[in-house]
Amino acid sequence: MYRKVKLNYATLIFSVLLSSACSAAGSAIEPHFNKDNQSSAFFDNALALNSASDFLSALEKTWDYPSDLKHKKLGNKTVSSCQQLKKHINDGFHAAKASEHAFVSAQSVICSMWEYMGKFKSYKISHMNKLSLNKGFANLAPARFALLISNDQIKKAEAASSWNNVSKIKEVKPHSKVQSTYYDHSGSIQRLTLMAKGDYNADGIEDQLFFMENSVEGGSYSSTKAYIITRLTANGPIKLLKEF
Amino acid sequence: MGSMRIIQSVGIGGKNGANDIKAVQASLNSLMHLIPPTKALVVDGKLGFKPENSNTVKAIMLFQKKVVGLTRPDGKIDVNGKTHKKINEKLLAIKPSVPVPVTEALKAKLRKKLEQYEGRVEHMYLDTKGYVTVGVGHMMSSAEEAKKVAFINASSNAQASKKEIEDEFALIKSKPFGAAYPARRFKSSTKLKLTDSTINELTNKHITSFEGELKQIYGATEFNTHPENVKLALFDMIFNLGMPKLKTGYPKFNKYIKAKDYKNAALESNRNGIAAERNQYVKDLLSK
Repeated sequence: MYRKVKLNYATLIFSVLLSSACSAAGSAIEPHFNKDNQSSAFFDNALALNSASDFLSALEKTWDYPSDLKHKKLGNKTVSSCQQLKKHINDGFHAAKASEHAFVSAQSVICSMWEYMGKFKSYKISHMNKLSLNKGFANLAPARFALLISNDQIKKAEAASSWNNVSKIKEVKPHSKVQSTYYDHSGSIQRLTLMAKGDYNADGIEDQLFFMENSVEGGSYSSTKAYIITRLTANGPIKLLKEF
Repeated sequence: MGSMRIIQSVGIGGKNGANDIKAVQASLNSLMHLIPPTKALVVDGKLGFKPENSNTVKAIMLFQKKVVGLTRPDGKIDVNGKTHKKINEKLLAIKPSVPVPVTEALKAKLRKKLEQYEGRVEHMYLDTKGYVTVGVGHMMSSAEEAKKVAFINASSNAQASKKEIEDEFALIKSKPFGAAYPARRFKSSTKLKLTDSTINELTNKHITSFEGELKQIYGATEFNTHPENVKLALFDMIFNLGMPKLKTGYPKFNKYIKAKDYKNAALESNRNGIAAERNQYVKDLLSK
């Protein structure tokens, strides 16, 4: 009896060691990118972007759907690639039509995502491979994941420990393993997509890049955000590395 | 507001009945312009465990100092005492707010601005949530809803059949959507459109519906007494944010609007993520 218990105990310890060894001392894991890379926002036929270098090349590709921008002093410009969009936004251009502000902002966020995804490297350690885009994720994700529109909400997020702490998520609708829509009690509707896994900050630990499309119940509001997060220990907090 | 009626004393050492406190808070909110930089009081009938630390008592003391002229304000309003009488004197001096209904002229101004900020789209498209939409943000939840709208054929101007509307609805619904897909992306997939007058008619219906929601948030009588520029600002906020977000995500803004403290409401009207130009438009309307 004692022997059997001792054996089971040993098996358990071995299993625990094995699971942490897999994540802590394995060989390099290549970056992984979501097949739905948002390229259909610019092109009739979505691009197949499978590696970090593919994303960097995509920044130069000419779009099928150009966008019109304007500048107070420099007049109007039509842009048709991520590279051109980034340059003109840095120069102070914005959407030519006020009604297309959210759309141009979304394009800009996608282009920035590609730029960061193009720099994702392989990693050896992962503490995020068991995360799912469910209600529990909102308890772990940083407070900045919440839809922060008003001054009140921005202030609330500064003191909050997690997304759910700001928003009180009431429902989550999963669309796939990498995409879910979150609904909160104040009318926020947030579609969250896991875009990439890889090492962003060269520490050998897995980081993840998320794309968030924000809208509201009964209103036209629309905005987009992207977040790069990491987790330094198996049950540790999720840390926000970058938001744009 | 006519006069302030209290049954017992309110403030430091007062009887502090909840209804009396509410009457004082509401009256002082109407006299905020006399006691800057006091901010609008929450009308909750409470002074807290230590009344001397409450914003209401601080406002009473400032009123006694600045308006009544007391060198040593005691933070207490006695029934028919000096402070009570002065409050009523100042309340009577305020010109009563005249209800201003939402006129046709205001609706026309509103439509113009909504079109500028939301876009005016004559064909079906998917909004960022994936709903089939047309006009100035007119969302159609099903093909049945779409059939109620007077679509015409873009090439012949002939009235569209129910089948044509149903087919086009299904086609648009099957397209990818998201924040990076503008309405114009869907145009090449459509054959139907709306006339200008149909779009205006739909927008007017939305304005009426949003007016009802604004009255739910701010009170029907109170909403009518806001000046035209404030109404325009509130319509822009609710059209963009929707009722749940405006009602629960903007507590300070709503408090200032209810207290008719439009300057502070302007500071709290900011919407993170929208065009700077649109934020400024609402700020300017409230600061007039």
